[in-house]
Amino acid sequence: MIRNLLVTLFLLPVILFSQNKYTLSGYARDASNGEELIGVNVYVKELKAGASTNLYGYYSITLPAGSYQVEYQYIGFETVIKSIDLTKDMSVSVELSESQTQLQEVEVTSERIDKNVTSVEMSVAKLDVKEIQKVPQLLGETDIIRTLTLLPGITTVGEGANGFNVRGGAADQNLILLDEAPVYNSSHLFGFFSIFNADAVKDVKVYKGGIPAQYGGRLSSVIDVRQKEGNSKKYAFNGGIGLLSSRLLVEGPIIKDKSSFMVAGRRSYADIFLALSDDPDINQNILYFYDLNMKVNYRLGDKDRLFLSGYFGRDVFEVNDLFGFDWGNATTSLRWNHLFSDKLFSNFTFVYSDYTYSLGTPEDDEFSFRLTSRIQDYHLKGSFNYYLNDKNRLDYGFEGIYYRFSPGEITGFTNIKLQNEYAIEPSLYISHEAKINQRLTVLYGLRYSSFYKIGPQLVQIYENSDFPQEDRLIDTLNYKSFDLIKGFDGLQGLEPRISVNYLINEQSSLKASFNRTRQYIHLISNTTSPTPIDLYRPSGTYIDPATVYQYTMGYFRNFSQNTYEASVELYYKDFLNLVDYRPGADLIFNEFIETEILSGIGRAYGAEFLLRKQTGKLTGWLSYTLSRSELKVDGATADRQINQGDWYASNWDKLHDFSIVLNYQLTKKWDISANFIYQTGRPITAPSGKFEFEEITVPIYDGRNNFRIPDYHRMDLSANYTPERKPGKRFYSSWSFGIYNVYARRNAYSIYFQSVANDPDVSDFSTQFFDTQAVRLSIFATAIPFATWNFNF
Amino acid sequence: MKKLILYIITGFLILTSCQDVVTIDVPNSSIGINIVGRVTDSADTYVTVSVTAGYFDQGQTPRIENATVFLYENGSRVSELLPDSLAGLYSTNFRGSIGNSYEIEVQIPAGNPNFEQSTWRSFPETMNRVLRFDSSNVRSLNRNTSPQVFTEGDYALVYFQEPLGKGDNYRFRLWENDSLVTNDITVFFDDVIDGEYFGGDVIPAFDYFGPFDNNGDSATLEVSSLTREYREYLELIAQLAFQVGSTFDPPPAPVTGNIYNVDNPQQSGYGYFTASAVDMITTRYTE
Repeated sequence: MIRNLLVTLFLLPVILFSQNKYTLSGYARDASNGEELIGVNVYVKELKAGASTNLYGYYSITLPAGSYQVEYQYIGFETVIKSIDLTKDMSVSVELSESQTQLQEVEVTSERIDKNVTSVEMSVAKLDVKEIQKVPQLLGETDIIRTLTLLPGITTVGEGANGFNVRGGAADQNLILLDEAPVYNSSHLFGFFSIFNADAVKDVKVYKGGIPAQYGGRLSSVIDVRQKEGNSKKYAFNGGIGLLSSRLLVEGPIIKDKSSFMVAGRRSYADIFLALSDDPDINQNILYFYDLNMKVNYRLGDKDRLFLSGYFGRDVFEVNDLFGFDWGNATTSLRWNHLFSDKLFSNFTFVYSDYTYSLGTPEDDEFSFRLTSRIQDYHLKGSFNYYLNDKNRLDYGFEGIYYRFSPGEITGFTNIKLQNEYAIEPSLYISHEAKINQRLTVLYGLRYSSFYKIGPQLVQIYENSDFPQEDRLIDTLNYKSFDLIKGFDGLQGLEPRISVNYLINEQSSLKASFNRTRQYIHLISNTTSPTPIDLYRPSGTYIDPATVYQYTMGYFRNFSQNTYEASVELYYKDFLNLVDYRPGADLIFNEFIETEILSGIGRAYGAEFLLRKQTGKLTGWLSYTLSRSELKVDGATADRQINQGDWYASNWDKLHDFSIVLNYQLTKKWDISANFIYQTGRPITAPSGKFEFEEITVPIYDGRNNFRIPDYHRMDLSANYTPERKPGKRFYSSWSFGIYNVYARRNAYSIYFQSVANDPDVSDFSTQFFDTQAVRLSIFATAIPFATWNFNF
Repeated sequence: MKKLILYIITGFLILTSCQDVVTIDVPNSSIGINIVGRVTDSADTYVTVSVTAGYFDQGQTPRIENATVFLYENGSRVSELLPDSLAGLYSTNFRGSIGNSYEIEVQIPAGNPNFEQSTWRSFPETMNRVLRFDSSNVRSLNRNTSPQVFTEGDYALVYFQEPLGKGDNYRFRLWENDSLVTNDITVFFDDVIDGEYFGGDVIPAFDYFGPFDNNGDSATLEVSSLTREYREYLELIAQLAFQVGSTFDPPPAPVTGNIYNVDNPQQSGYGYFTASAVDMITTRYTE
């Protein structure tokens, strides 16, 4: 069946091909560095028809023969207008220059930058890296993920929390792709900073809903990050020195008009902050991160192009030479773009991704040990964009993933290895974007995914397979290499996706979407925020794949010649088979994780409001989300329930989430920025009583997430000084100054509950009494200034 | 690990973080019974009977002083525990034996000011074998670390054989000159160290205390055997009692011990009655 499907997919272009029209195709590039631009509007005025460039900057539009004025439009760039006499298939590539009219309040050249209204896509957040760089940031560190959380529907558990949450989904429900390679941990320093070095990033796009059929494997979102290709015109260096880290990027042509490269590195020096402490338990520690981004591309000819890109990042932490801990991602992507014809663009990708953590004592320690865990996966995928005509586009493709999960191996004074786990995840997809008429556009598609957990593995069989218990083991099955342990396929693997756009008029539209997505791997983490030592584990005998149904509708409206974009979106999500954990679950170095987990359901719903201005002296956005995110674990018996089987708020449930982000260009050299954020405090579990166990006062918790920390709010300010570049002088630099948490609010990072000795002079714990108290921990309790010097030459 | 992460966070943010004691209003749950005790093979058997209190109520939780407490061995009553000098404490000089199972029954009469009339019983606990200490000594230690963080000095070392055969669970407690050093819970099981000798060529002796300060000081180490259920209970108690408040903590869990209401078995108490074999060793420091 799979073979037949593949054959059909490859033959589709032939079946549907039409010879009555001509095709205009090509690439859109940045004139300053030759980088392909993603999402450039290609608009044919005479026909009111258009297309946009794909993820590789390629466009194709098939039109009747004729003479046309074709506009190439991209926010922040001068519109290019080409007169095309279309009497045959033509390849026209254009170069767009950055707009010199940024300071005008209304940018006259971009009158049709109205994708917000006209595109069938909804629930999409797209941020330009230059825009991100102007947002005031903690310690001046440009942070893509933190900036994304200022948009509607994207939030975190709190400052310094690993990962982020999209529309009520858990942190492991986000598919984070860096040049198509999945990244398993997007944070450095336990969540304070993201792993993406903004200097090396070209484009960031987030799908919160209406997820296209080409993406799968996670329930709640896709974050598609594309690295720069490298300047194909000249050698360039840019970098910066900040309070937290320094960075340097080098890029340039390898062979003129054929090949270019980009290498970027970043290294933090958080160790310096630790050294400022008087406490020897703190000041002799080592803590830093580094990352390295790399990309090379090579044009084999007009129709073929190769890309090789990679990322390697590590966090390193050492306590007084006693204990070491490091973790990080490594990814490699090899991609081949091939044009089968002007209408059929294809991309074949091979990806290797690896997330590893390791902790232990120094090797020369007499009782040394090292625990290592990792997840590795290999992807092979092909994607095809077939541009039938100006009204229809087909996207289709396939993907195969091979996973190797290595939950743990201890070496040193003893050698123990938990069993590896293996799985295969094949999938196929097809989608069709059809402009039914001038008002109605439909994007519908189907993804079919399946998942096969395979050997070798010893699988334990329990008395009650619905509730495995360590002491109720009845058998062990021995599966050999590639033996099928458990398969998930059939109709459950169908993932329909549909989005509809009804254009009310040129300024406004109504959109709706539905998607069903499946997730076969699960982050095993029962902490409020995931930690670097949490690992993904596959679905299998005892863990079912998770599924979500998402329904979204929205109203989109642009004002003042598209200077202002506004949108309101409503969403509802139903989650099935979410993994939760039994009380006191022990998850680290646990081979038989099935004895620690429970299965639950979830629901999330909300309304998102966004008002955005992307051009003129004043730019920025105002975002507000009103939402709920709830979970329910209602097993057959009390020990399989949480909160007696009732709905309870998830850790990331925040009723109100409001952000305002503004940047104002004061002069040609100076611009100023401000953020303000207000959020409902996150839920925590507070004790409702206490009892005494020997010398210990033990809090009683009888309701999960029954209390909330105080609401969060914060303002940040910054000023950027960017002197004019002097003609003929290569080196130039700019400065950013700012203050994070301007009015020094002591926002609660957490409230925790502790017992303290009633009489500190009593040294015998058996005669000591303990008092109980609540403590608010604020991690940024003061205003934090920053300064960053950026340079390039 | 969680403490470690919090140290890093607060250490990294040493200039910006702060902690304030705050007053918050949380609803109190209904009052529950709390029965804690143990029978051993080498010391008196005791049980403490108390009730729960509001989290922010200060001082000791209320005690039940007029209960009747019986001990059962392999299902037969073998002793009554009588009120001790401390309020709510009941004891007997009965000693248990390895391999036998033990239960208690606590009867609370009508008219008790702190709790309603009721009868509570524990689920049977088997007294498991325990590792036995061979010997101990004092040795000067200076772990070679850079920078040096261990205090150079004289440490108490203990030598022992962990019995062959997996499934043993242990708890350690430590006294310095007859004062309990900490209320931390230290438990472990023998998955990794099954049948190993501590103090041989492969695994060094366990340095359980040090450095000593004064001539004549003593350090006493107790090891007791546990059932797997009791070890898990202790781990949960430790997790709840010593949460550090970071987002890297797991969600707090409800506690269920091995005590149940005889008339309503669905109703559980908070404590645990355990049966443990015990070994102790004392090292006295002489310069």
